[in-house]
Amino acid sequence: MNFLFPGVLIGMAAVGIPVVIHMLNKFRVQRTQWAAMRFLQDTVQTNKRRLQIEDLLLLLLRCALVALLVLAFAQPVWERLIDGSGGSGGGPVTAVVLLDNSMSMSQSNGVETRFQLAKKEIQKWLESADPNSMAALYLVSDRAVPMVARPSNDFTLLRRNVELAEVSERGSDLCEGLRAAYQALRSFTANRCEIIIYTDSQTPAWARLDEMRKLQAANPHVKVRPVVLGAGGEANLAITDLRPEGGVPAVNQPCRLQIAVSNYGTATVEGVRVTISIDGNPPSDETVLPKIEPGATVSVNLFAHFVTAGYHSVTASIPPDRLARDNTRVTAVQVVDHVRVLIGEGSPEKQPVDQDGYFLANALAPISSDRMGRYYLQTTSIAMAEVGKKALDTYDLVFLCNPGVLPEATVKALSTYVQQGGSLVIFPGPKTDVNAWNSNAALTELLPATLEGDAGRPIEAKDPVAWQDKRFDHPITTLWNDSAQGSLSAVRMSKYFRLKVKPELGDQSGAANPRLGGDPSVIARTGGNEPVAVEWPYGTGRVVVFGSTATPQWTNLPLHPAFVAVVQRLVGFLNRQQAARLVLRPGETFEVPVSMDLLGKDFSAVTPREKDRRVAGRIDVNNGKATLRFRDTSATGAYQLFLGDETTPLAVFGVQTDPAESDVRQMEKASVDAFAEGPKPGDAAATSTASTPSDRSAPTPSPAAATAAKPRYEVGREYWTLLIWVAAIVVIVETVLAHRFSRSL
Amino acid sequence: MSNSYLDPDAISRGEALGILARTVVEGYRVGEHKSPFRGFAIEFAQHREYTAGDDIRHLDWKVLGRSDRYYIKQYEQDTNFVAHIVLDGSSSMNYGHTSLTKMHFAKALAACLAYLVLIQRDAITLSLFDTETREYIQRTDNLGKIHHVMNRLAAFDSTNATAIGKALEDISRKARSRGIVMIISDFMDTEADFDKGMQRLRFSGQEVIVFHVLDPYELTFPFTGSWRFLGLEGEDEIKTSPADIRKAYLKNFDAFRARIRGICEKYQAHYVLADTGKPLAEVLSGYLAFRGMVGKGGR
Repeated sequence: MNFLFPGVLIGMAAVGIPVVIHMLNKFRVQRTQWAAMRFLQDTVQTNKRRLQIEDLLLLLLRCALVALLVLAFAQPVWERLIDGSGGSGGGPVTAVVLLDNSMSMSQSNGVETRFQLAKKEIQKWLESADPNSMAALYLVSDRAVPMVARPSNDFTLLRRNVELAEVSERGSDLCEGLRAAYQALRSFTANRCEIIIYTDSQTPAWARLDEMRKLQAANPHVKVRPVVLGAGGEANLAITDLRPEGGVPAVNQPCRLQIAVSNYGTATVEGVRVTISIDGNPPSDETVLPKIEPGATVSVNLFAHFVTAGYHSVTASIPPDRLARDNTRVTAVQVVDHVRVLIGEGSPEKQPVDQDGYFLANALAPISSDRMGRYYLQTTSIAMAEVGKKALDTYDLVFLCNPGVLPEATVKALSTYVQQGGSLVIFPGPKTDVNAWNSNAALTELLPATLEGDAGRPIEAKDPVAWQDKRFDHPITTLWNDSAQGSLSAVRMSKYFRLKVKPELGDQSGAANPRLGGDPSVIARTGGNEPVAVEWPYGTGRVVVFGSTATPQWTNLPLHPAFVAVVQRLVGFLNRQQAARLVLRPGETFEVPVSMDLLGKDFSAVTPREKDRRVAGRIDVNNGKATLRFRDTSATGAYQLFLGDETTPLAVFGVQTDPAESDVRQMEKASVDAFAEGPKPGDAAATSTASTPSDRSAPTPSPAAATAAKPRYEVGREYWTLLIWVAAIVVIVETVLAHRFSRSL
Repeated sequence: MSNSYLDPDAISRGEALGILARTVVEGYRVGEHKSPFRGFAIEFAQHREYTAGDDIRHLDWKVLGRSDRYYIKQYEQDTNFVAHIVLDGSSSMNYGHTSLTKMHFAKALAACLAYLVLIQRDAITLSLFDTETREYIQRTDNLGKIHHVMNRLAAFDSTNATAIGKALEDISRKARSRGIVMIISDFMDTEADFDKGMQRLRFSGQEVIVFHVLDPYELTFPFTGSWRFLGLEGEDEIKTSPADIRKAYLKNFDAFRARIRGICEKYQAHYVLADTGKPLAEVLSGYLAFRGMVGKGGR
């Protein structure tokens, strides 16, 4: 037995207060003459002993009341010696139950899902728990949702919440749940503290294991107990990717969709039928994957044809298995009638074949001139000086070929255009003065890389510099990782500007400059690993800069057979980046700017869970623009948003689950057991603030780890609540007795 | 009648006490009552033959039964009666939770009764006693002597313990003819002595009216906190917490009152609780109204 606040025991001196009051009352006597002394005498003599006993009893009760209150404030606790593992066993416990409700928990064993198993286990635990135990309940996916936020002994409430809990379609991150659990237990020191994690223990859920260990080391008094549901090695075949590939999805143009199918089971799967359907209609294209090895992912391309412009949903499906939710995957595509491209040329006065945008225009619209009018990609070529005067927002893409010194107004117009969602592609050329460019702050900020030359002039290579052959990692050029698609190593550059890629800003990009949308990416490099094309997001648009010309003047790229593919994929990529907002993760908010005419109008929604249209919101203003915003995106699948009674959706978007959720393979048991045992002396990875591999080998345990490992006294039970209750009872008894004594004689 | 008439200083002066008595009594007489003590002493004189028109209530039924003749009983003229006012002057009567003590109240009551009797031309005697009779005013039916009576009442100062048995014995000895004995006391004495005294009075043919004078604090015992009680008749002091013993005390005290009332009933005496917390007129008129209702002497 010990006290959390022993200093308060000084207050025990207050026990003397009732005695003093009693004595003062005895001394503070009033006097009166009295006639009926005979009766008073009789009464007093008859009841003298009883009065003394009652007085003494009341005095003792009052003293006991003071003593109980002082003891309660000193917070007496019962301590017991436990080993360093955090303690376990019977007796009351203050627990936080973390119930993994990520999508993978809906994996079934043929009878019941992992989530149902988990709920049963929790109910069992609640039934067997000590009556004085308390528990909180959190649902954990990639976030922690409190069902019962603070530990409570209302187990009925807990059982009810466990019954009501549902599987989400979110990813897994146990670290979030663990953090929330430690937070919930922060003020509880009375009972044994425990965090019980009911999870399927899929590997991605433990991705932040190092961070979890640090949390564990910082809270050595809390025992963490994972309860793993489901068996390892269960089969699961999943569609882990679905995205449009190649060019711009346009009306009556074949749109290639890349579908990735992964086998997370332990056996080879053969004959997997993959289909795609548009807008919920019957499948429009299909293929059969002959074989997928365990752990392998196979990609396949299927084609969709869209007959109308606008938003469409595309659903890819494979045959159902025991984790049904990842057997379909939905994406949304914005199909366009036309894509308007503006080409600004540095030397428009030349013959067409010598014009800076000639090859580019042909690559953009690689069809005969008689069909040009019906082609979805409409190009307009103008002189570079006219670019700044054009209404750029009427174009989807702007190419600058061989730009010279750009006037401030043009740079400003281009910057605004890109910030508002436009795409800008720059091919430098002989007129490009890199010194002037680099001294232009606005232009330098706009570009993803700085152009560097030889004293302001392009670098002239003795031997033409070739592009890389393999290991492309940008979506535009990954096609050429497959040798069957040809090679870009035959692309040569005799003159070029060196592209010095801007440093990565990481998560600080937004903080450093709100216009910067992310880090630059290299589209292609030379064989010597020098970037030759770089792109990055700027505002809500993108900027691409090449190191060489769009004419055969400095490079043979325009003459290479891959040039058309590069340009088409570039246009498709830039278009898809604008359309990327059409695919969300569960819980993300869908936002799309709409015409100001629609401001204040109600819109309705058809969601994966509700097939009937229901009013879902109103179009409001965001950053000065009318914006269609929809937040209830917890379910995966296609969402259609309609304006009023219109039958054509105003917007369609898809919500896709984290592909990692389909990986139902479990974390190694040894690792989970090691985590459950808690940090050990010498486990530097768990206790140090750094988590690098070198840190793990550090031999000296931190004080926290040493404390956790040694046997120590643990607070077993606090008695202050009990004492308060007893004090309350004493107050009631004293009041009743005092009242009774004064009238009972 | 208001309590202002019971100003202790006023009661200490005979003249004021007389004014008080007159006011109270005259106030009572203004109503429909005549005299509550009228026609007390009636003596048989002779018979005469019945003639038509005589009240048959006066027909002597015994004579009729024996001789079959109709005779009417005739009586002597109503004679004056003597009211013996016996006032307890012991120290215990000096208690009062305000400056108005039981003694003050009892003096005022005695004065009122004396005035009431004298004004209807009956006679009174006044006896003030503690351990023995301290003051005694001989029989008088002269209203002019009322001032003398009042002055004696006002001048009396109580100092000793009570011996009511002895006082009542004296009265029964002194009262030769039948009359009304009005005892005004708190009866803080042994009930056995009181019983014995009452027995003597009844044997001597006296009608007895008992005015039990008590302070409201004696009746309710409303003290809180710790108190030291000092006996007025030389008892040892008692220190106690009245709230703790209130119920027991009241039980004891009620039993005492019940015993006094029981003795009164035993000897067919009227028992009147004179609560000094109530106006004197209320106490007096309440009793006189009661007396008027039950008839002469209560018999």
